[in-house]
Amino acid sequence: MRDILVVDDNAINRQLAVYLLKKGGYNVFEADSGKQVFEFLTDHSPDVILLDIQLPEIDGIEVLKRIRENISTKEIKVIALTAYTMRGDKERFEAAGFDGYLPKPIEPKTFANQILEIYNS
Amino acid sequence: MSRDDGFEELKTLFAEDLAEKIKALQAAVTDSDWNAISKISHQIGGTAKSFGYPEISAMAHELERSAQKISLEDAAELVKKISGMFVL
Repeated sequence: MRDILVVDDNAINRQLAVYLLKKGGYNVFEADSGKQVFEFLTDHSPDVILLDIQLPEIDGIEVLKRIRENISTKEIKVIALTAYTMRGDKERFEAAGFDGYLPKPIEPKTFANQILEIYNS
Repeated sequence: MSRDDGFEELKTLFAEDLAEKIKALQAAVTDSDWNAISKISHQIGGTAKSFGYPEISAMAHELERSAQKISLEDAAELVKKISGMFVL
């Protein structure tokens, strides 16, 4: 695992994730909308996409659906990153096809390791 | 710049952002805009704990979950509590 795309419209959360992952030695890219994700994926193939659910215009579940529909991106590991932490949410995200789920708030000390664990699982 | 300086810089950005979000939340309560209350509290809840404010995260999640199920007065009270917990 080397390249990670962090997708979050909340600039603070996105910058925190980028900071922690860069500190962990990864190449990190950023996007703040589904549109930016699709643009990025036209000429990049990250190992992991960390995808916020509550995004403007196209939500994270729809973004994932389109990633899975595209033959060149469907194998990318996509992890849901979201503050939706109500009962049944984890199951809902798994059913949508996410490879893993990380609830917000981000826990700075364990964040990079949590992603690596999901990537390796 | 050391690694810790990077995190301190992020904390400053977070503090500025939170101050703005609390103002927006107060305005949303004044406007009875439950969509905005839910959205802003969702964002606060998803961030504050990472920067050392777990109580604010918990309170914001409570506000998000109870949006539209409680009175505006109770929502205003929760926003007041969130605002009171945040000391720069």
